[in-house]
Amino acid sequence: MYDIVIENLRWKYEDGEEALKGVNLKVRKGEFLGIVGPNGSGKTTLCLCMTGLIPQMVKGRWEGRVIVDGMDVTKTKLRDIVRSVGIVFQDPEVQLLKMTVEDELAFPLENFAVPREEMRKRVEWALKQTRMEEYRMKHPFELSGGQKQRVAIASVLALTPKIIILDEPTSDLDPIGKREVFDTLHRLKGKHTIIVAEHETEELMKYADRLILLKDGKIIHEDRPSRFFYKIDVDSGVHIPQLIMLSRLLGNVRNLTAIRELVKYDSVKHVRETSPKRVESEEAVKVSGLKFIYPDGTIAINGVNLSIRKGEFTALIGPNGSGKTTLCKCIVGLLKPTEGNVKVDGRIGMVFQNPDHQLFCKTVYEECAFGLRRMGLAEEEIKEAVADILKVVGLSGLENVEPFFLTKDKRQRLAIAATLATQPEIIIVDEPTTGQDVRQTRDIMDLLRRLNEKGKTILIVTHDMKVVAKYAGRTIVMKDGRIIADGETRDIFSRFDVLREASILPPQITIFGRKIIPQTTVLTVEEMYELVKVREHE
Amino acid sequence: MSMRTLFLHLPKESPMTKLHPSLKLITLIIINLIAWIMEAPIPLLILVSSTILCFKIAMIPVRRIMRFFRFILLIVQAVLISYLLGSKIPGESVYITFPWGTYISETTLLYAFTMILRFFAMLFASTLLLATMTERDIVYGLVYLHLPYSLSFVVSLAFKTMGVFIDDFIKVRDAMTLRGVSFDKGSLLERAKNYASLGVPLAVLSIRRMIESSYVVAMRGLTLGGRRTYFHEYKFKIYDLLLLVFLGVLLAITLLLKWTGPLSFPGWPLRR
Repeated sequence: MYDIVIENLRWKYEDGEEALKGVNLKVRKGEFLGIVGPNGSGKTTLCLCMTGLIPQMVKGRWEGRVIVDGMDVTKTKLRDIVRSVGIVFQDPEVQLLKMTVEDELAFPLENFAVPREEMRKRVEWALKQTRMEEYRMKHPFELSGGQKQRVAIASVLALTPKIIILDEPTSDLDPIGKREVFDTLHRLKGKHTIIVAEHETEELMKYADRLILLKDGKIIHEDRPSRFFYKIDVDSGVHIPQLIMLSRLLGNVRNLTAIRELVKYDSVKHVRETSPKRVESEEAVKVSGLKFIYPDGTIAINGVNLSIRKGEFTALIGPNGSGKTTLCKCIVGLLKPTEGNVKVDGRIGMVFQNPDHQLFCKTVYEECAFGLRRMGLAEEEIKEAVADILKVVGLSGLENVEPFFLTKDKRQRLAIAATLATQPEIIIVDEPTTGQDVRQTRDIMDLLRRLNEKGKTILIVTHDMKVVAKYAGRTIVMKDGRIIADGETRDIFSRFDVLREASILPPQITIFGRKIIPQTTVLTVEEMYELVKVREHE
Repeated sequence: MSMRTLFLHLPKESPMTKLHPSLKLITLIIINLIAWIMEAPIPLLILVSSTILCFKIAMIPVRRIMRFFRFILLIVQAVLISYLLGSKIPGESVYITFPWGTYISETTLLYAFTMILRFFAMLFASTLLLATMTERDIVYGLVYLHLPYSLSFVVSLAFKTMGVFIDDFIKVRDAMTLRGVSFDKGSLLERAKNYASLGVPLAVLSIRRMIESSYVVAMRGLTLGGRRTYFHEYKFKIYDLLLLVFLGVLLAITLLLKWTGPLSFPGWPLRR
């Protein structure tokens, strides 16, 4: 009846806090279970407990019982558990061990001494299940993020486990990659018990049979997806799908047709825009005829002309490999253009996607002081400036902490602080919200907005369209090294054909808005709510 | 059909890529051994030329390996400096005598040239073979040589990790450059210090990746010493056998000629 039974599970890491505080959970055979919760709530720990990696490979204090496919994970050899449970991790780079897709899939089978003929059949089957047949001889470096995660899923599938666990499998992926992974899971639904820990709730609720909310190491709510998001706290740290959020704001009107009725009129004049508009000012960045070719011959940027005004908040969007990061590297001077030129008026700073690439000092204080020392400031001035910067990013009081012991969102904020320390007028942030929960995303983006309001020019590279819609006044769409659209975010999000060409899906509320009010473009839930309220008032 | 090897993307398969994996490893060892044994410049020149010819046979795009040339030039410089400034090889004419007692004779020049040829032979042969080998070749090559699978796995993982490490290295260096750290300017000591500071984030990233990789390896069922099967099967073909015999004979002849004298350095009698 049940593939997984967890009874009163408590787990404390050897040198850390108690990560799980009495979890009770039963997962039925063939069920698709979604685990949601803010970062640090215990999602990954719970996933590792269900595979036996905790407590068998991680040190800590364990209480309670976890039975997986009839096996007690504390008493059964990991190798035996692996036959029943497979896990896909967040980072696609780490989990691919071999140099071709085919070898990756064969690797676990070789480890279990599966005969060669049987191996061939299973590899073939797993490739088919994940639709990766044509990539069998490809090197992992040649695959996109979504394809790499599909290989990781296929590698797990090859062992034909009953249970597949996926720990934030789409966090590092672009919209196409996310869709590929969820499509694959959709095909596997019903054939395996699937457990997915995710921040991407809009996709998750389409496929999950049940969702659980984990907070501070405890399951605080569980329900069917259709009811789940109506019952959880708005500040639970979980992204509530936009249409449900709208419905909740309207007093739990669950029938979308009813909402349609409320706004079924010429509402253009009633849209109260909540997202920022473009600004007209002097040029901060001017890119002319930019072309960049990598040494291996890859044309990353192919004739880009661009002008960014001072004080603009711009979003650069497009699929992976479209040239976004290369363009940013050319702007900051890390890459020398093959053709064309870049002119920058003012000091420029860049925050990288992974804060771990950027932090190298012993303490939080030193990290912020580093740039200031290079600028030749006196120690007293540095002290004052660091205190100010840490206050802005909300890290005051952590001056003496080692950066690598901070949580990821704090490391991300520290990376921003370290960049801000050099007082740049133009700030480029690459994927500021990857792997962040809804509260952390809001904190980081609000910080960037405050900086923008103080006159800083902000350019963000992101796959999160909700963030673009809410924060960016201007949006640039790139594809194949070229800019295919550039304009006010509202205009760009009204051009579904352009977005489709760049494989970008606009926010759920924008799509819904287009269906019911084709003549206007709604960017946020708040805007749509305003429209409905106006109608109610009338 | 194009293929990606450890270092390169080759446009198509060649006789070199089709060799048995274990033979590729054996060839690598034997060519290096022969180059190490030889001391005569002419045979070494022939060995270097043959290796260069093999690049053509292997269809390796020369443009792609040009980046290694800077490294090779550095070695040439180092060899030249060490022999020219730090050796005492007698010759018929001594061109310069240094205050610290070493000197340059015509034999010094010939010996330095020979040593450079020896390095070239070893480097070209290693580059050639590694440029035509895949990770699978290394794993299966070592397995067919009856070495434990754990060793093959560690070696292949090291090659895979190298790519990720280089990627991290570039990103960390870029991030530090943007915060004002210069890796190209300043004294040698300053530059060394700056490069050393790269170590902190790289070490942290590597440790994190290592922990995650160990979970992945455990969840793929790998155990040390357990029975396992292999997805691919390689057969020793006739041309593999011919090459093996040729290499064996070549090694034997080299040893014999070195022992009897023709492959020894022609300047040695002068030293005696």
